Amino acid sequence: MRRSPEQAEIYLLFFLGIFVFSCLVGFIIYFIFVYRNKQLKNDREKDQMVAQYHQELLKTRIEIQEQTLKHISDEIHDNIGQVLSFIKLNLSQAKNLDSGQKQEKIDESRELISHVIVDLRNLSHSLSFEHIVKHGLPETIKNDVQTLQNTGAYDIDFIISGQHYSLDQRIELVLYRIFQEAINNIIKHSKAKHLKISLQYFPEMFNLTVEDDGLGFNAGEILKNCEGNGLKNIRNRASLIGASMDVNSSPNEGCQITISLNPSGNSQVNDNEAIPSGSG
Amino acid sequence: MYLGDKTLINYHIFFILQYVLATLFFYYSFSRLEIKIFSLVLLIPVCIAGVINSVYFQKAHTYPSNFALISHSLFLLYSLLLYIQMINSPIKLNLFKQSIFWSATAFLVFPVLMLSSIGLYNYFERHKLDETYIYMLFYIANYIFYILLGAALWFDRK
Repeated sequence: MRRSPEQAEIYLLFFLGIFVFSCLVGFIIYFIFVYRNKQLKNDREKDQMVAQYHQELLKTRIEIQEQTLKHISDEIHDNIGQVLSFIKLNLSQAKNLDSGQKQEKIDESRELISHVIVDLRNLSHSLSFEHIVKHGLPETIKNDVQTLQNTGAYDIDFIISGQHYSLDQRIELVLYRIFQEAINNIIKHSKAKHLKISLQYFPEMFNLTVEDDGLGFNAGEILKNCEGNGLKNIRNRASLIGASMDVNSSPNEGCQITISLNPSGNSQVNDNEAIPSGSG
Repeated sequence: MYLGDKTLINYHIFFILQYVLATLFFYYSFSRLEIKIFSLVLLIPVCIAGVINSVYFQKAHTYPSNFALISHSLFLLYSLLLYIQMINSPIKLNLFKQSIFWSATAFLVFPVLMLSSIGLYNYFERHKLDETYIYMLFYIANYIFYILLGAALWFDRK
Protein backbone atom coordinates (compact mmCIF):
# COMPACT_ATOMS: atom_id res chain seq x y z
CA MET A 1 0.00 0.00 0.00
CA ARG A 2 1.61 3.27 -1.17
CA ARG A 3 1.10 6.47 0.74
CA SER A 4 0.22 9.68 -1.13
CA PRO A 5 2.75 12.55 -0.88
CA GLU A 6 0.28 14.50 1.28
CA GLN A 7 -0.11 11.60 3.67
CA ALA A 8 3.67 11.30 3.91
CA GLU A 9 3.85 15.01 4.70
CA ILE A 10 1.23 14.64 7.41
CA TYR A 11 3.21 11.80 8.94
CA LEU A 12 6.31 13.95 8.75
CA LEU A 13 4.48 16.77 10.47
CA PHE A 14 3.19 14.39 13.09
CA PHE A 15 6.67 13.09 13.88
CA LEU A 16 8.04 16.61 13.77
CA GLY A 17 5.39 17.63 16.31
CA ILE A 18 6.35 14.72 18.55
CA PHE A 19 9.99 15.67 18.18
CA VAL A 20 9.31 19.32 19.12
CA PHE A 21 7.20 18.25 22.08
CA SER A 22 9.90 15.78 23.22
CA CYS A 23 12.52 18.52 22.95
CA LEU A 24 10.31 20.76 25.07
CA VAL A 25 9.81 18.13 27.77
CA GLY A 26 13.49 17.16 27.56
CA PHE A 27 14.50 20.78 28.03
CA ILE A 28 12.30 21.17 31.11
CA ILE A 29 13.63 17.93 32.63
CA TYR A 30 17.21 19.01 31.87
CA PHE A 31 16.53 22.39 33.45
CA ILE A 32 15.15 20.73 36.61
CA PHE A 33 18.24 18.52 36.79
CA VAL A 34 20.68 21.44 36.32
CA TYR A 35 18.79 23.61 38.79
CA ARG A 36 18.82 20.87 41.43
CA ASN A 37 22.58 20.45 40.95
CA LYS A 38 23.06 24.19 41.32
CA GLN A 39 20.96 24.18 44.50
CA LEU A 40 23.09 21.38 45.97
CA LYS A 41 26.30 23.17 45.00
CA ASN A 42 25.03 26.36 46.59
CA ASP A 43 24.08 24.50 49.77
CA ARG A 44 27.56 22.99 49.96
CA GLU A 45 29.19 26.39 49.46
CA LYS A 46 26.96 27.90 52.14
CA ASP A 47 27.89 25.12 54.56
CA GLN A 48 31.54 25.74 53.83
CA MET A 49 31.05 29.43 54.43
CA VAL A 50 29.33 28.75 57.76
CA ALA A 51 32.19 26.43 58.80
CA GLN A 52 34.77 29.03 57.76
CA TYR A 53 32.87 31.72 59.60
CA HIS A 54 32.82 29.70 62.81
CA GLN A 55 36.49 28.85 62.41
CA GLU A 56 37.40 32.51 61.94
CA LEU A 57 35.22 33.49 64.87
CA LEU A 58 36.95 30.95 67.06
CA LYS A 59 40.34 32.17 65.85
CA THR A 60 39.33 35.73 66.65
CA ARG A 61 38.24 34.78 70.15
CA ILE A 62 41.47 32.89 70.77
CA GLU A 63 43.51 35.85 69.52
CA ILE A 64 41.63 38.19 71.83
CA GLN A 65 42.14 35.79 74.72
CA GLU A 66 45.87 35.53 73.98
CA GLN A 67 46.21 39.27 73.71
CA THR A 68 44.32 39.80 76.94
CA LEU A 69 46.42 37.22 78.78
CA LYS A 70 49.60 38.82 77.44
CA HIS A 71 48.35 42.19 78.58
CA ILE A 72 47.57 40.80 82.05
CA SER A 73 50.95 39.08 82.25
CA ASP A 74 52.79 42.28 81.19
CA GLU A 75 50.78 44.35 83.61
CA ILE A 76 51.45 41.97 86.51
CA HIS A 77 55.14 41.71 85.69
CA ASP A 78 55.89 45.33 84.87
CA ASN A 79 53.57 47.19 87.14
CA ILE A 80 51.77 45.33 89.92
CA GLY A 81 54.69 43.01 90.67
CA GLN A 82 57.13 45.91 90.83
CA VAL A 83 54.89 47.96 93.12
CA LEU A 84 54.25 45.00 95.45
CA SER A 85 57.99 44.32 95.65
CA PHE A 86 58.50 47.94 96.55
CA ILE A 87 55.82 47.69 99.26
CA LYS A 88 57.51 44.53 100.60
CA LEU A 89 60.85 46.35 100.69
CA ASN A 90 59.23 49.31 102.45
CA LEU A 91 57.61 47.14 105.08
CA SER A 92 60.77 45.08 105.69
CA GLN A 93 62.74 48.28 106.21
CA ALA A 94 60.11 49.63 108.59
CA LYS A 95 60.94 47.32 111.52
CA ASN A 96 64.33 49.01 112.06
CA LEU A 97 62.96 52.58 111.95
CA ASP A 98 61.61 54.84 114.65
CA SER A 99 57.89 55.33 114.98
CA GLY A 100 57.76 58.57 112.89
CA GLN A 101 59.63 57.04 109.98
CA LYS A 102 57.59 53.80 110.39
CA GLN A 103 54.39 55.80 109.99
CA GLU A 104 55.85 57.46 106.89
CA LYS A 105 56.71 54.07 105.34
CA ILE A 106 53.26 52.70 106.22
CA ASP A 107 51.59 55.72 104.59
CA GLU A 108 53.78 55.31 101.54
CA SER A 109 52.90 51.60 101.36
CA ARG A 110 49.20 52.39 101.77
CA GLU A 111 49.45 54.87 98.92
CA LEU A 112 51.16 52.25 96.75
CA ILE A 113 48.52 49.62 97.65
CA SER A 114 45.81 52.08 96.55
CA HIS A 115 47.62 52.40 93.21
CA VAL A 116 47.78 48.61 92.90
CA ILE A 117 44.04 48.37 93.61
CA VAL A 118 43.30 50.94 90.89
CA ASP A 119 45.61 49.10 88.48
CA LEU A 120 43.94 45.79 89.27
CA ARG A 121 40.52 47.33 88.67
CA ASN A 122 41.71 48.67 85.31
CA LEU A 123 43.14 45.29 84.51
CA SER A 124 39.85 43.62 85.30
CA HIS A 125 38.11 46.10 82.97
CA SER A 126 40.51 45.22 80.22
CA LEU A 127 39.33 41.60 80.06
CA SER A 128 38.17 42.55 76.60
CA PHE A 129 36.00 39.63 75.59
CA GLU A 130 33.87 39.91 78.71
CA HIS A 131 33.89 43.66 78.35
CA ILE A 132 32.67 43.68 74.75
CA VAL A 133 29.81 41.31 75.53
CA LYS A 134 28.78 43.30 78.59
CA HIS A 135 29.41 46.86 77.51
CA GLY A 136 29.40 46.82 73.72
CA LEU A 137 31.87 48.02 71.12
CA PRO A 138 32.05 51.79 71.79
CA GLU A 139 32.69 51.35 75.51
CA THR A 140 35.37 48.68 74.91
CA ILE A 141 37.15 50.78 72.30
CA LYS A 142 36.90 53.79 74.60
CA ASN A 143 38.55 51.72 77.33
CA ASP A 144 41.40 50.75 75.01
CA VAL A 145 41.80 54.33 73.84
CA GLN A 146 42.05 55.43 77.45
CA THR A 147 44.75 52.81 78.14
CA LEU A 148 46.64 53.85 75.03
CA GLN A 149 46.37 57.52 75.94
CA ASN A 150 47.65 56.79 79.45
CA THR A 151 50.94 55.60 77.95
CA GLY A 152 51.54 59.19 76.86
CA ALA A 153 52.82 58.07 73.47
CA TYR A 154 49.78 59.13 71.50
CA ASP A 155 47.40 61.99 71.29
CA ILE A 156 44.04 60.41 70.43
CA ASP A 157 40.72 61.82 69.26
CA PHE A 158 37.89 59.39 69.84
CA ILE A 159 34.60 60.34 68.18
CA ILE A 160 31.25 58.58 68.23
CA SER A 161 28.69 60.11 65.89
CA GLY A 162 25.10 59.30 65.00
CA GLN A 163 22.46 57.46 66.97
CA HIS A 164 24.08 54.44 68.59
CA TYR A 165 22.56 51.02 67.85
CA SER A 166 23.76 47.57 68.83
CA LEU A 167 25.27 45.30 66.24
CA ASP A 168 25.30 41.52 66.51
CA GLN A 169 27.68 40.41 69.31
CA ARG A 170 29.77 38.37 66.88
CA ILE A 171 30.06 41.30 64.52
CA GLU A 172 31.09 43.60 67.35
CA LEU A 173 33.71 41.05 68.37
CA VAL A 174 35.15 40.91 64.85
CA LEU A 175 35.03 44.71 64.57
CA TYR A 176 36.88 45.00 67.87
CA ARG A 177 39.50 42.57 66.60
CA ILE A 178 39.87 44.67 63.44
CA PHE A 179 40.33 47.74 65.63
CA GLN A 180 42.98 45.94 67.69
CA GLU A 181 44.79 44.82 64.53
CA ALA A 182 44.79 48.39 63.19
CA ILE A 183 46.11 49.75 66.49
CA ASN A 184 48.80 47.04 66.60
CA ASN A 185 49.90 48.04 63.11
CA ILE A 186 50.11 51.68 64.20
CA ILE A 187 52.14 50.81 67.31
CA LYS A 188 54.50 48.51 65.41
CA HIS A 189 55.07 50.36 62.17
CA SER A 190 53.65 53.86 61.93
CA LYS A 191 55.65 56.02 64.39
CA ALA A 192 52.50 58.11 64.61
CA LYS A 193 51.86 60.76 67.27
CA HIS A 194 48.27 61.59 66.62
CA LEU A 195 45.43 59.10 66.15
CA LYS A 196 41.82 59.66 65.24
CA ILE A 197 39.34 56.87 65.93
CA SER A 198 35.74 57.29 64.97
CA LEU A 199 32.59 55.22 65.12
CA GLN A 200 29.79 56.49 62.88
CA TYR A 201 26.32 55.11 63.40
CA PHE A 202 24.25 56.06 60.36
CA PRO A 203 20.86 54.38 59.84
CA GLU A 204 22.06 52.70 56.64
CA MET A 205 25.75 52.37 57.41
CA PHE A 206 28.14 51.80 60.26
CA ASN A 207 31.72 53.06 59.84
CA LEU A 208 34.76 52.34 61.98
CA THR A 209 37.67 54.58 61.05
CA VAL A 210 41.22 54.44 62.42
CA GLU A 211 43.45 57.23 61.20
CA ASP A 212 47.06 58.10 62.04
CA ASP A 213 49.65 60.68 61.04
CA GLY A 214 52.50 58.20 60.84
CA LEU A 215 54.86 57.02 58.13
CA GLY A 216 52.16 55.67 55.87
CA PHE A 217 52.73 53.27 52.97
CA ASN A 218 51.76 52.68 49.39
CA ALA A 219 48.32 51.20 50.04
CA GLY A 220 47.56 50.17 46.48
CA GLU A 221 50.80 48.25 46.09
CA ILE A 222 50.62 46.51 49.46
CA LEU A 223 47.03 45.42 48.93
CA LYS A 224 47.68 44.38 45.33
CA ASN A 225 50.70 42.27 46.27
CA CYS A 226 48.85 40.84 49.29
CA GLU A 227 51.69 41.99 51.52
CA GLY A 228 51.09 42.92 55.12
CA ASN A 229 49.52 40.25 57.23
CA GLY A 230 47.76 42.82 59.38
CA LEU A 231 45.95 44.41 56.44
CA LYS A 232 45.17 41.02 54.96
CA ASN A 233 43.67 39.94 58.29
CA ILE A 234 41.61 43.10 58.48
CA ARG A 235 40.34 42.60 54.94
CA ASN A 236 39.48 38.93 55.56
CA ARG A 237 37.69 39.74 58.78
CA ALA A 238 35.78 42.59 57.18
CA SER A 239 34.57 40.34 54.38
CA LEU A 240 33.62 37.72 56.95
CA ILE A 241 31.03 40.05 58.48
CA GLY A 242 29.93 41.43 55.11
CA ALA A 243 31.79 44.71 55.59
CA SER A 244 34.08 46.50 53.19
CA MET A 245 37.54 47.86 53.93
CA ASP A 246 38.91 51.07 52.51
CA VAL A 247 42.59 51.97 53.00
CA ASN A 248 43.88 55.44 52.21
CA SER A 249 47.59 55.82 52.67
CA SER A 250 50.69 57.05 50.93
CA PRO A 251 54.29 57.34 52.17
CA ASN A 252 54.77 59.99 54.90
CA GLU A 253 51.11 60.93 54.84
CA GLY A 254 49.70 58.64 57.48
CA CYS A 255 47.03 56.05 57.00
CA GLN A 256 43.25 55.86 57.22
CA ILE A 257 41.45 52.54 57.46
CA THR A 258 37.66 52.57 57.19
CA ILE A 259 35.45 49.57 57.76
CA SER A 260 31.92 50.06 56.43
CA LEU A 261 29.06 47.79 57.24
CA ASN A 262 25.37 47.77 56.44
CA PRO A 263 23.80 47.16 59.85
CA SER A 264 20.65 45.55 58.47
CA GLY A 265 22.34 43.18 56.04
CA ASN A 266 25.52 42.54 57.98
CA SER A 267 26.88 38.99 58.24
CA GLN A 268 27.20 36.69 55.22
CA VAL A 269 26.30 33.81 57.46
CA ASN A 270 23.03 34.05 59.25
CA ASP A 271 22.52 31.71 62.15
CA ASN A 272 21.31 32.32 65.64
CA GLU A 273 24.23 31.09 67.66
CA ALA A 274 25.17 33.65 70.27
CA ILE A 275 28.62 34.11 71.69
CA PRO A 276 28.89 32.32 74.99
CA SER A 277 29.91 34.86 77.58
CA GLY A 278 32.96 34.22 79.60
CA SER A 279 36.14 35.92 80.58
CA GLY A 280 38.97 36.43 78.15
CA MET B 1 -5.09 32.69 8.09
CA TYR B 2 -8.43 33.94 6.82
CA LEU B 3 -11.39 32.67 8.81
CA GLY B 4 -14.31 33.78 6.61
CA ASP B 5 -16.57 36.70 7.41
CA LYS B 6 -16.35 36.24 11.14
CA THR B 7 -14.72 39.27 12.77
CA LEU B 8 -11.55 38.51 14.67
CA ILE B 9 -10.99 41.99 16.02
CA ASN B 10 -11.05 40.63 19.57
CA TYR B 11 -7.95 38.53 18.72
CA HIS B 12 -6.18 41.63 17.42
CA ILE B 13 -6.90 43.53 20.63
CA PHE B 14 -6.30 40.56 22.91
CA PHE B 15 -2.92 39.68 21.37
CA ILE B 16 -1.59 43.21 21.85
CA LEU B 17 -2.96 43.34 25.38
CA GLN B 18 -1.48 39.92 26.12
CA TYR B 19 1.91 41.04 24.83
CA VAL B 20 1.86 44.23 26.96
CA LEU B 21 0.86 42.36 30.14
CA ALA B 22 3.35 39.54 29.55
CA THR B 23 6.12 42.07 28.93
CA LEU B 24 5.26 43.81 32.19
CA PHE B 25 5.37 40.44 33.95
CA PHE B 26 8.80 39.72 32.48
CA TYR B 27 9.98 43.26 33.25
CA TYR B 28 9.28 42.74 36.95
CA SER B 29 10.65 39.17 36.92
CA PHE B 30 14.01 39.93 35.33
CA SER B 31 16.74 40.95 37.73
CA ARG B 32 19.30 42.20 35.21
CA LEU B 33 18.77 45.84 34.32
CA GLU B 34 19.88 45.44 30.68
CA ILE B 35 17.28 42.74 30.04
CA LYS B 36 14.61 44.79 31.83
CA ILE B 37 15.39 47.76 29.60
CA PHE B 38 15.52 45.54 26.50
CA SER B 39 12.04 44.14 27.18
CA LEU B 40 10.64 47.59 27.91
CA VAL B 41 12.25 49.25 24.89
CA LEU B 42 10.88 46.53 22.61
CA LEU B 43 7.36 46.98 23.98
CA ILE B 44 6.43 50.12 22.03
CA PRO B 45 7.77 49.18 18.53
CA VAL B 46 6.24 45.70 18.75
CA CYS B 47 2.86 47.14 19.75
CA ILE B 48 3.07 49.67 16.89
CA ALA B 49 3.95 46.79 14.53
CA GLY B 50 0.89 44.93 15.86
CA VAL B 51 -1.40 47.90 15.15
CA ILE B 52 0.08 48.42 11.67
CA ASN B 53 -0.41 44.70 10.97
CA SER B 54 -4.05 44.89 12.08
CA VAL B 55 -4.77 48.02 10.02
CA TYR B 56 -2.88 47.26 6.79
CA PHE B 57 -1.95 43.59 6.49
CA GLN B 58 -4.12 41.20 8.49
CA LYS B 59 -7.35 43.08 8.93
CA ALA B 60 -10.30 42.35 11.23
CA HIS B 61 -11.37 39.15 9.42
CA THR B 62 -7.91 37.66 9.46
CA TYR B 63 -6.24 35.98 12.38
CA PRO B 64 -3.25 38.18 13.44
CA SER B 65 -0.68 35.44 12.92
CA ASN B 66 2.12 37.88 12.01
CA PHE B 67 1.84 39.59 15.35
CA ALA B 68 1.41 36.23 17.09
CA LEU B 69 4.66 35.03 15.52
CA ILE B 70 6.57 38.07 16.78
CA SER B 71 5.03 38.15 20.26
CA HIS B 72 5.30 34.39 20.84
CA SER B 73 8.90 34.33 19.64
CA LEU B 74 9.62 37.08 22.18
CA PHE B 75 7.81 35.14 24.92
CA LEU B 76 9.98 32.15 24.07
CA LEU B 77 13.12 34.28 24.30
CA TYR B 78 12.03 35.90 27.57
CA SER B 79 11.15 32.55 29.15
CA LEU B 80 14.58 31.17 28.23
CA LEU B 81 16.19 34.27 29.75
CA LEU B 82 14.11 33.67 32.87
CA TYR B 83 15.36 30.06 33.02
CA ILE B 84 18.96 31.29 32.69
CA GLN B 85 18.34 33.79 35.48
CA MET B 86 17.00 31.01 37.71
CA ILE B 87 20.02 28.81 36.98
CA ASN B 88 22.40 31.68 37.75
CA SER B 89 20.84 32.51 41.08
CA PRO B 90 19.18 29.43 42.54
CA ILE B 91 17.28 29.69 45.81
CA LYS B 92 16.80 27.09 48.52
CA LEU B 93 13.05 26.66 47.92
CA ASN B 94 11.93 23.53 46.06
CA LEU B 95 11.77 24.32 42.34
CA PHE B 96 8.21 23.03 42.01
CA LYS B 97 7.08 25.45 44.71
CA GLN B 98 8.52 28.46 42.89
CA SER B 99 5.94 30.50 41.02
CA ILE B 100 8.62 31.85 38.68
CA PHE B 101 9.34 28.31 37.44
CA TRP B 102 5.68 27.72 36.57
CA SER B 103 5.42 31.12 34.89
CA ALA B 104 8.57 30.53 32.84
CA THR B 105 7.30 27.07 31.87
CA ALA B 106 3.93 28.54 30.87
CA PHE B 107 5.66 31.09 28.64
CA LEU B 108 7.87 28.36 27.17
CA VAL B 109 5.21 25.76 26.43
CA PHE B 110 2.52 28.14 25.22
CA PRO B 111 4.52 29.87 22.44
CA VAL B 112 5.96 26.54 21.23
CA LEU B 113 2.47 25.05 20.94
CA MET B 114 1.02 28.21 19.44
CA LEU B 115 3.76 28.60 16.86
CA SER B 116 3.43 24.92 15.91
CA SER B 117 -0.36 25.29 15.69
CA ILE B 118 -0.13 28.34 13.45
CA GLY B 119 2.34 26.52 11.19
CA LEU B 120 0.14 23.46 11.03
CA TYR B 121 -2.98 25.54 10.44
CA ASN B 122 -1.36 27.25 7.45
CA TYR B 123 -0.33 23.86 6.07
CA PHE B 124 -3.79 22.32 6.56
CA GLU B 125 -5.50 25.34 5.07
CA ARG B 126 -3.24 25.31 2.00
CA HIS B 127 -3.88 21.60 1.41
CA LYS B 128 -7.60 21.84 2.12
CA LEU B 129 -7.41 19.42 5.03
CA ASP B 130 -9.73 19.14 8.02
CA GLU B 131 -8.60 21.78 10.54
CA THR B 132 -10.61 20.50 13.53
CA TYR B 133 -7.56 18.95 15.18
CA ILE B 134 -5.62 22.16 14.78
CA TYR B 135 -8.36 24.08 16.58
CA MET B 136 -8.08 21.46 19.30
CA LEU B 137 -4.36 22.12 19.47
CA PHE B 138 -5.07 25.85 19.93
CA TYR B 139 -7.45 25.04 22.76
CA ILE B 140 -4.99 22.60 24.38
CA ALA B 141 -2.21 25.22 24.18
CA ASN B 142 -4.46 27.75 25.91
CA TYR B 143 -5.61 25.28 28.57
CA ILE B 144 -2.01 24.31 29.36
CA PHE B 145 -1.01 27.98 29.47
CA TYR B 146 -3.74 28.96 31.91
CA ILE B 147 -3.24 25.86 34.06
CA LEU B 148 0.48 26.66 34.37
CA LEU B 149 -0.27 30.32 35.12
CA GLY B 150 -2.81 29.16 37.71
CA ALA B 151 -0.14 27.00 39.33
CA ALA B 152 2.22 29.99 39.32
CA LEU B 153 -0.40 32.17 41.02
CA TRP B 154 -1.21 29.48 43.54
CA PHE B 155 2.43 28.99 44.55
CA ASP B 156 2.96 32.74 44.59
CA ARG B 157 0.18 33.14 47.17
CA LYS B 158 1.64 30.43 49.41
